[in-house]
Amino acid sequence: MYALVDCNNFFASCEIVFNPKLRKIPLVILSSNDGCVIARSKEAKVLGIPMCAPLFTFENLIKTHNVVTLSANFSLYSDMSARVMATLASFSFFTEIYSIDEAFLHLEDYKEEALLSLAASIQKKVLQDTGVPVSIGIAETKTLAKIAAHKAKKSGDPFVITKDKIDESIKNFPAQDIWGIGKNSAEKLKTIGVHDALTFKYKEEALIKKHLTVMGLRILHELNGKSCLETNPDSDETKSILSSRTFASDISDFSLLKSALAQFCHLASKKLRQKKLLASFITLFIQTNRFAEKPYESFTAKLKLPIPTSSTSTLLVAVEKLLRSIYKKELSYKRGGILLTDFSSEDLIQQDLLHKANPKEKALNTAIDKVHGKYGSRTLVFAAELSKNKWHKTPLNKSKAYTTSWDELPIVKAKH
Amino acid sequence: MENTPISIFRPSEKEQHKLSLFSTNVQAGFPSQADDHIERTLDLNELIIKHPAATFFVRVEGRSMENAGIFPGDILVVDRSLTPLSENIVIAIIDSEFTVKKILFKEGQIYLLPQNPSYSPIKIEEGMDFQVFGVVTYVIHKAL
Repeated sequence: MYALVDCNNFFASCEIVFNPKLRKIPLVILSSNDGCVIARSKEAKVLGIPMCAPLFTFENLIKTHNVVTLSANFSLYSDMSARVMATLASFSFFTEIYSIDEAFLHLEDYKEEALLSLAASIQKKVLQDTGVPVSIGIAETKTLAKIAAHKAKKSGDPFVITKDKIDESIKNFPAQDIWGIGKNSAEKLKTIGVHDALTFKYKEEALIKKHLTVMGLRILHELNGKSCLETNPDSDETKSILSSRTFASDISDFSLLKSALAQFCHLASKKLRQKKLLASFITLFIQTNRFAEKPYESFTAKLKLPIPTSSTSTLLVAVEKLLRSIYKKELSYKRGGILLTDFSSEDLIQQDLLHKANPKEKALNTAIDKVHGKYGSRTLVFAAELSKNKWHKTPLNKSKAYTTSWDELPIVKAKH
Repeated sequence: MENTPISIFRPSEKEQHKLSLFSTNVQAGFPSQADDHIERTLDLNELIIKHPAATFFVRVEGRSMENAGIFPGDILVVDRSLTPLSENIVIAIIDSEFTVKKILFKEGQIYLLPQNPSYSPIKIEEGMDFQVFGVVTYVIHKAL
């Protein structure tokens, strides 16, 4: 039995815990540089502000309805997420964290009343201990639990899909909203007469396999109550590391662009070292502004590294080469990133006869990582990362780090 | 399977506590009295934070709780998982603001009491914006 616990409007809910003035008003959370909506409170959803919309597209709505906008406060959200997950852990033998605001709890086969009562206890405890409201869907498989959670979110009460109630529970649930089915798959399903989860459940295996391959088959079994999306140990394996950001304003200056990309490179290679991996391929991309007058353009360049490496200094040399090969001074760029792929373990290194790995580099990188760990990542940077101007914006309206900084604790008044 | 769900307690997954061996070498013959003392480091977290996921820190501004030993600038340890009992110090939300008060349950009514004669108690009435955020378990006052 699985319970999917899904936080309601998670980022907005976190903000409300520490700022009661935000209760019951339209609130949107914006991403750091895009100014795109990444979360909305219930009241903002009602106004029709869509997800992933850039801020300027609904400026009127903001003025007329006094919508509050806040920049994302990820230190707060990840700390609160850890608290929610820790609270959930006491209810199950195995809590599987799925995302920052969702987790699957593996449960025994209790009867329906017991499951509903358990779910109500979980909702109550998470709300009391952390202040975050959650919705809970329970079913025999994860895919069905996700559908149950959808229903629970609408009603506000936990929803259980028991073996005998699967059909009535999933009828008219849009195929596109099934876990693992996107727009394209939903279109394919329409061509074979599948428009909701119920018609999917009763479709012939052969047809599903033909149109949606093995993934579709797994979903079919899951909808029929047969669990087959177990935790995949291989999913822990990192296949790529991407570090990219949108720039606060369009950049056309080469050295400013290079400094931003150098910082991304440093972040990515640090993650690589944390996982004790080496990369053989580095890809650099830069993109122009989607909303500007000139048509949108994206440029990519990649390089195979002679020796697999995780050394920032080696990778920075590659970054400069790659950037020079695609940079055009007449264009302005709005977004850039570094992608590292083709990993091998630090323990197995094959060397190129012509290029020898420099043992001093490993010591240098280890030392830098240690300084960053103790004093913060801005204390020591590679020269390539420096630049006179900033490519990133200081977040305009970000709430305090209420739970992760002694200087930013919530204030309580002893004044009346 | 049994119908009633049970609470499952998990062991703490914080930093490991090193279990020391006895502090003196074990020798044949009479053991020393000192051998019974196993070395241990005192961890403030262990003393102060009973429910980590539900524990928050807040800072005090103002003097209305001075008679309870809560002064401006103090840090309060707040536990949301505790149900407030009468005469506990709580963090409450009144009119969308955080406030620190002593809570009193008397004859079916709820009162929020300051601890300073210059301030007046608040009686919670029907329709007031009132919520308890958590119970204050420790007061951290800087002596230097």
